[in-house]
Amino acid sequence: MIQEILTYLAIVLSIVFILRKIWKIFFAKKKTKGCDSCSSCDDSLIK
Amino acid sequence: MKLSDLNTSEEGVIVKVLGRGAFRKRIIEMGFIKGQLVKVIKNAPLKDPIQYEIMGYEVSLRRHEASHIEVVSVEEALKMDAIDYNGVIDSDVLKNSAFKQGKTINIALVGNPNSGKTTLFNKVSGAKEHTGNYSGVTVGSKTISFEYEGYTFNITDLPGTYSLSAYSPEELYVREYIIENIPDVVVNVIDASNLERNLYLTTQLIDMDIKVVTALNMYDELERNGDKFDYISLAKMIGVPMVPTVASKGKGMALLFDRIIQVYNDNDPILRHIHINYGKDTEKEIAVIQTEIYNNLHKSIIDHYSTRYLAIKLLEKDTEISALVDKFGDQSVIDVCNRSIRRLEGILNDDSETIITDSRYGFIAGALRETFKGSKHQKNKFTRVIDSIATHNVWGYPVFLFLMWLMFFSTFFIGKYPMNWIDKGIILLSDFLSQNMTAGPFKDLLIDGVISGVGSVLVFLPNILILFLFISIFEDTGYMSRAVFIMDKIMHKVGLHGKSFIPLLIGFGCNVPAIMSTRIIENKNNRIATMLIVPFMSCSARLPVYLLIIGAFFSDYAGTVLFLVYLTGILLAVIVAIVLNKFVFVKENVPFVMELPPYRIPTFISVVKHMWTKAGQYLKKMGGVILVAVVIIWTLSNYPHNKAINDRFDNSIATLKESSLSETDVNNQISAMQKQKKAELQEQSYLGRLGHFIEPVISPLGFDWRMGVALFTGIAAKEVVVSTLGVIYQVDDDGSPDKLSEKIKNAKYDSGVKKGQNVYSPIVAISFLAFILIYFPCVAVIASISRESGSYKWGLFSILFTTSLAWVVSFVIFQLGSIF
Repeated sequence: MIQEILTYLAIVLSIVFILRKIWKIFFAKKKTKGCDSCSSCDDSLIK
Repeated sequence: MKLSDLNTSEEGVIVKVLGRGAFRKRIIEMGFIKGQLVKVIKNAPLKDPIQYEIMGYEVSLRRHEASHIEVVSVEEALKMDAIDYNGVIDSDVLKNSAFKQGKTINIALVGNPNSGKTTLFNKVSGAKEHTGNYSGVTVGSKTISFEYEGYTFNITDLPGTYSLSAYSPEELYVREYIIENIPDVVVNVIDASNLERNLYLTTQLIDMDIKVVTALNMYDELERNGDKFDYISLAKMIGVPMVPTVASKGKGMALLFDRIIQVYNDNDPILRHIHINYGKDTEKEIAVIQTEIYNNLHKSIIDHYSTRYLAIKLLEKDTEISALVDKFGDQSVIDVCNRSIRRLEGILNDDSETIITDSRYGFIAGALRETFKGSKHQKNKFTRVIDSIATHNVWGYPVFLFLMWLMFFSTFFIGKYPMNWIDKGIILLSDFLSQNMTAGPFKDLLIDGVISGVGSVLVFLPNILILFLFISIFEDTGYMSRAVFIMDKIMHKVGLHGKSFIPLLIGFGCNVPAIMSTRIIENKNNRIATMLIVPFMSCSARLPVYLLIIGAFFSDYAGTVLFLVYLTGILLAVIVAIVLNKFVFVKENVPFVMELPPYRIPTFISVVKHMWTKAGQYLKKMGGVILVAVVIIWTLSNYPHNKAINDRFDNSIATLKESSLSETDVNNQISAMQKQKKAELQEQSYLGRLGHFIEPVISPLGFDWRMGVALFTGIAAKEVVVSTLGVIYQVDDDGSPDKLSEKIKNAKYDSGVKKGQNVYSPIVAISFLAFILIYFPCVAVIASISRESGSYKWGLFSILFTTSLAWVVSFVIFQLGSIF
């Protein structure tokens, strides 16, 4: 019984982890900073 | 006059916006552009900000920001044009005065002592200034004015200096003059017969992010020496226009001032700001200090100086800049800087000043190596001797290929010993749990899933560390720069010149930071093309898969095969780059300097630190994505429970036990039946169904459903391919302590027309290696491509393109290989 509970717990936690990872990769906003003072750089892609 | 000097309700027309980079851009974007009428709404003395009206709306500027904007006031306009003033002035008149004022260019002449600066100054001005060095604290400058092409040039001759450090009063004077007076254009006079030393000052001017035009003075001497100098290419690389001059004879003067006018008007095709690359470790510390400066230094200083320049100067232990930061900033900036200096000096075992100086000379050496061929170009003797081979037009390539081969050979040869130790440890742990845990699903999950799946990847940790040991040594000795340099010559022809190399090199570690580093490429087409070929660089996640397959089928010449796999990736990248540049993107090269730093012996700390970081990342991945993927794969391969299969085999085994056969025969048959039962259960599991679903697509490539599943799960992370094979083949384990590579070698088809035949053959292995190399980069890479390109379209394109290409290449390999 304990083994079954532990197994299901591991499976559920793994699914939660994967979903969280997918969220972080595709949807969470990244905090990035533009480079300093490069007037020549095309900054449009550096958000 | 300055905009900040106008009083409330006074008007003026903007003549020019001084300052540099981001600050100037921001001010201009707010509408403060040349020729615009601006009115002061409220300017209370000593109060900030000041309120202005421009383009019909009100805007506030801080006093120090307004002091960077030059305007013509009514009073000045009247003086200039002697207009009959009756209390009202037409804005057109004011604009006309501003136009005239805008045709005044303030120039500062800087250069090494005896570079012919004052000669140039005298020649253009007709003055008779004494030519010679300045000395002591009585340094000063002379300014003269003259007219040319409708412009008024105010030229200031500054003392000669070798650099812009704060060591001598001359150096400090020149630096402060440039910062305080903000000349429109700085003319850097260079002695063309001594380029290497003179360009050192140029690198510092580049760091200051100001408009520079270089006068290659005494160019006749360079020509007389028989030297060949492609100054146009050098100018494009460093973003500084260059004009050959012979000041003593007045040659090149008109061209020089034409160029200055172009630069002043922001329409010079060559002028751009570049960042000199100070090397990985130094750049990391520069970024740390820059962040601290952004957060904790007074805004007026940040607007005045480039933060990158400040960070570099702080790392150089520049006392004046340190004092400035101390005065206008938080103590934390100095603390962070001191920590960075300690870290950097600890890693590179040298003084931070020397590190920066060496990098600058490395930049110059790299720039001149590509553009200058001369009898007098001298380098450090040791570096020169090694470079005569390492960057040789012919021998450089075999040396490069040999060192790469040596790296992969060692990865395999040395790595197999610790790999075996880890493998034995995993088997011991597995046996221990097997004997001491009670039977149940969690026990199966731990042994067949976690230990088998994670363990199969963990065994390759030593190989990865060895690979990174070599990469770290190549980088720290300075050889990597040479490798990039010689490869650049080839890649230049395929439209991937310069900055594309940095992402490609990073790609050998991990493709995600490699994609992110494509930001350094200014041109969008080049940037996207580089993003699309980065996945062909075999990242360290693919290494375990290569090692597993190569170890199983090509162990006698494993290093060479591994080397060939990596090389194939590079060649594919080159071919794809050619195709993309020919059909998808228009080729547009941005020149770039490859630094050639002097060779140095790598420090133990630096090498260990790189390996430690890599080991940490690998283990973190193991405890995260791989562990989780293994749990899910195990679940999918064990569920749903198929009662019919279980009952059928259990009944057969029970019948067998009651038969009259000998005990040995019964045990052998039971063992075979249990193996068959596990195989059938696995085929009926969710994973098996998925595998059989995709099998028709991959069977022309020689792959079975298990390989298909492994490739599918590899989308999450490439190491998961190995983990999946580890979990799947664990089921077939009949108690023998065979390694995964042995199990793969002996794997047979369980069903279908090929039942009983070997799944793998050397040709299938090659086909599989090719597929792994080319197909779908992991999810994180696709997300990075989508994010960095600004469109999911490119992420999707990358998936379809790489996977289709992988299928075609593997198909050709397998089908052709099957014929012979």
